[in-house]
Amino acid sequence: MALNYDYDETNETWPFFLLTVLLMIIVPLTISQFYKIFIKKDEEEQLTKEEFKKNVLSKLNDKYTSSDIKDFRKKFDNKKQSNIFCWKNLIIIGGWILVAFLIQRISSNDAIIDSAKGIFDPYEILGVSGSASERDIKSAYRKLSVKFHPDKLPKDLSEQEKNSMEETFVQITKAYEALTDEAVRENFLKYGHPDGPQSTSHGIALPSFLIDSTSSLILVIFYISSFVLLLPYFVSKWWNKTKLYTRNNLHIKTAGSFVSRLVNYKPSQIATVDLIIEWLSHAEEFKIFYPNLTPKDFETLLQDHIHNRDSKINGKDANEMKYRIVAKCHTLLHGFLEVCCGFRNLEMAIVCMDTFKCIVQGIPLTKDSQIFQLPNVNEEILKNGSVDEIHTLGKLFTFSDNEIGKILGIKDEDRLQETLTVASNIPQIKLLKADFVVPGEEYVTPQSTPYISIKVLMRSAKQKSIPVDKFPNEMLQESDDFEDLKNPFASMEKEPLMPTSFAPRFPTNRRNTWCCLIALQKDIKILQTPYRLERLSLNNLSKNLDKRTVKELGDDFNPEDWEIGFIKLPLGQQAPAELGSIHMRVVIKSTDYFGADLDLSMAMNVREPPKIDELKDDIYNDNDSDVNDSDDDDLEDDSGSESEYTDIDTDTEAEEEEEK
Amino acid sequence: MSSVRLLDLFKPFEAFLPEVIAPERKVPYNQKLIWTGVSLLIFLILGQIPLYGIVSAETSDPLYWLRAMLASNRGTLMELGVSPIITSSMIFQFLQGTQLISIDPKNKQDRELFLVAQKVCSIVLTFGQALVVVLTGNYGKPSDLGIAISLILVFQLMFASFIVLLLDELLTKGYGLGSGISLFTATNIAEQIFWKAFAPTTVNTGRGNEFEGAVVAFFHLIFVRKDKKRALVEAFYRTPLPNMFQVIATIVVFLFVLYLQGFSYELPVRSTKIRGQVGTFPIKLFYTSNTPIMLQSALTSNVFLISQMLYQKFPNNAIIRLIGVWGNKPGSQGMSALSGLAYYIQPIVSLKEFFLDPIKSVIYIAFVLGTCALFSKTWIEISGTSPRDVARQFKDQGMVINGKRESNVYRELKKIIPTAAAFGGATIGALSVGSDLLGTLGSGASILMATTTIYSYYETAAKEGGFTKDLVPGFSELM
Repeated sequence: MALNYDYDETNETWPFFLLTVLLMIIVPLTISQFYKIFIKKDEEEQLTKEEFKKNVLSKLNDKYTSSDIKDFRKKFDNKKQSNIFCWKNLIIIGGWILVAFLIQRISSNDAIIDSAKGIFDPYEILGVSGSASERDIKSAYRKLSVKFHPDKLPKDLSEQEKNSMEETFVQITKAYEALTDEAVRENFLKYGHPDGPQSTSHGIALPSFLIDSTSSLILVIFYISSFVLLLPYFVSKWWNKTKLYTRNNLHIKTAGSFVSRLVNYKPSQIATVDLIIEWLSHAEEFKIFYPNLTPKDFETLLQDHIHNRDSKINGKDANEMKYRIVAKCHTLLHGFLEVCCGFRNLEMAIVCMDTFKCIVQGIPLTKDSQIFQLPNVNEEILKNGSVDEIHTLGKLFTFSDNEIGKILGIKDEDRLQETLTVASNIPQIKLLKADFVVPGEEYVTPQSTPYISIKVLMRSAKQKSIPVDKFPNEMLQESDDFEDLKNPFASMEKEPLMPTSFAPRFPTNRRNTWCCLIALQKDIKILQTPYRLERLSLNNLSKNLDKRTVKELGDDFNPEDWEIGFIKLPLGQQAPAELGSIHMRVVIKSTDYFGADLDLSMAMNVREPPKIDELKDDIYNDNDSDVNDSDDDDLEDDSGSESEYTDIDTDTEAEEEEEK
Repeated sequence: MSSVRLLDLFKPFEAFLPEVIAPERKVPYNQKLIWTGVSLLIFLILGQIPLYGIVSAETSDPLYWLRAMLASNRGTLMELGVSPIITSSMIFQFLQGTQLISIDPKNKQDRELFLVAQKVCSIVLTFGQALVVVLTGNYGKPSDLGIAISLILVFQLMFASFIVLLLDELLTKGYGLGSGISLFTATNIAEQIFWKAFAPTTVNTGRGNEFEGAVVAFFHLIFVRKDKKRALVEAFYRTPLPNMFQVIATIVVFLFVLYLQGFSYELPVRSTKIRGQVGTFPIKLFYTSNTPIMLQSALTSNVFLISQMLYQKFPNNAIIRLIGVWGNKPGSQGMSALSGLAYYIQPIVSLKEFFLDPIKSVIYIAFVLGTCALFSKTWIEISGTSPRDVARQFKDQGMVINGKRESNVYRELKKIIPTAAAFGGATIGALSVGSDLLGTLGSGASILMATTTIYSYYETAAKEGGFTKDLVPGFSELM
């Protein structure tokens, strides 16, 4: 390889190299961009449209969102979705222009045309096509040789013309031989020339102006700057960015401030929503948005949002600031929840979730929050005129529509209907069954890895509560496919995503998430990081089973119509080595809705594993099935009494009392 | 016990050899990426720095067919590539597998000694190879170079190899992704394939400038030639230079190997120690990965080397002629076997050759498939992945096959693993022959190697979470 390469002096080859490189970059880029713009976008639009149709709440959410927030969404959405003028499209357009320019240059470049002419091509010289038969070739040769043969040339030609004619004749003869004579043909095929191998020269398709004295200096400077300055700069920039944010997308400083606050937190201090908002206001993320504002300002903005006030900072309208700050809050709160779990502080985690709801719904935490999250509610009338103590949606739906209108102070019929739609579409969780399950085992054995399996019924507050015994046992069984044993949580991924929530005051569209916290009952400390439940079918909510009209569940009740939600929570720890029972508290809290939570305690009973007689094993080595069957029989008795749980969700209890 | 003492012989070296200290905490994925990138960059730069003191490097290259696989670059600091490291690790794996050296995998001291021994061995090998390379006159006759320059050359080669050794150790010990050796080799192969597809260099042999890179040549021919149809034919089938057909064949083989990589027999397993842990133990079709093809090409290349040498010394000896008769084939650069045993195990490089001598083709294919299957089956014994070893591993980790008794694990594994190994080895062999026939850019074996390495990198990256983004749910596109 130690050869001297000639640089491209005549600009003959380097355009081709550049063209290839360009095409290699641009063609895939163009295709992917086309796909993104025309196919994927359509699919996405289809999806959102479908959801819009299916989910009544999205329509209402859209209706009740103030124009201020809509403007805000548009402004910030555009930044990302202006597909036409993003840098990728500019690169593609620029690239194609360059390609066109190159092709134009190539086709107008004389050197290339000249070099193409210099190539020996027998078909071209004889003027026959590449697939011509030997006879055609012969006749073409005859015709041409008659015309150009030195003996048959007309006498009155000048010396120069004569020479060129003779030259042509030599070429014609060579071409004819290259196509007919065996030896010459072989030479032509192998070396590309009838006379055998020609002198070989190597070149490199780089324009020679690159190594001129002036431009070579520029080139050297370019190399040095890109390798010594730019490369380290970009790498270090990327590096710093990855180091700046924690795994939960929390700024490192924010996470630090959360941690130090939790360390210095005095147990005598009461954890309230206001306290958490104060802590949130010190987040570094807000400072990056608005470096001029103080944490105090951020706190005011957040409080303004919760109490639904217009914001003013230094006498100027600060609503846009407020929206930006609030929109960032869900990341911060998820991060804060994670930090709380790191400190194993259940109380703080629960208050954090309450704050989450307050910020999403834009209402303060009071005992009437469940009612206030509905649209059109008149605060005054609800507070003064209520006959009974009505704090929950379940209770609200014991009244007739008109009465509800009176209680909430909604006079307009349409508006009342909308309010009722929202109320009946807020999901409520009804607990059906909760177990600790060990894959492939009948019950929890020492040092096994159980998970928590909770079967729930997602229902609307409007529907009549269905007792657990209405559902046959088979519907509540854990599946024992091998796939499910291997990864019990995979089945949860197949559930549909939760629909967008009704949260007209929150600056962005949100989907509801349930955060599942698991704590030890003994010392009320959280065991592990929160599990986020994002997928659960809410089809049950649209079922018609109005508790004001259906008094008794008749024979026509078909449990198959109802979907049972499977919530499987991984446990971060093994079961203990000792036998006995451990009581745990599982808190499932919604991020978006008030009154959509579940709080239960369950006991994990650790028992001796089934004894398998080792001796018997060796004898009946091949009779696997027999032995297994008898094992199963022994165990079946125990499995019934396995689920011991108590529902301590106060909401549900209150409601059930009501119904009696 | 004597074997343990053999290891102990290496104890004095422990104090002198530099060593990469294993990371105390798990290195995050991003950091691993950086370490891997930097090591690769250093390696590539080493492959570009010419050796100081070379008089000429224009003698014919006897090792050209091994260069890609050993990640070596002629006339540069990377002259030896990774070959000393590979050889030494193969030797030690062999010694360990055949129980000549027994180490207790639980004993930290033992494991460290084993690594030290491996390092010492590779340094000795580097010295030996560097000496051979310099003394055989690769860079000009040693008498012309003088002792000083020769020593400097040896020193340079050893120094570079030592850096590669440390880079490999750095990556293997957990700072990087995967192992350094396979990364360097795969990079080198990929680089060569890319060069052949996109090389900007041109050759002029009397019919105008022709690009060496196949894809560039394709565009060039389409534009320059008047008869577009013949231009297309030439772009796809031109012979000495890489052509488009080879590029496409390479891509097809690459995709096909990726597809086959996913093939595995999944053994359902259950943990007895920790109840409730249920999973699968995949037994891959490529159970021994690309080892059989590497061993096979090592075997044939050694046979060729010896046969070639013998033939040059004694061209008329009947037995040596039986092994192989060598000569220049018209149209190819290097020496190739014309008859004898060597002829029958010499790779077939084109479909034409395949049909011209069907007997040779059949023998060759049977030879490759057979040796690959055999090597694969032997390799599982040597490398500690045989049914017995896996069964022991199951026992140590308290795993049983779901629905089977503990005592049956070995029996079950014995049914599956050797079959998988032999069949996988034969498949690898068939793939290699197939890609040679199609005429991929670079030999079939090297493409297989690069592909398996790239796939394993993809797997590690996926495992380390390189492709998932930890985004908060319900997080709209807005912020």
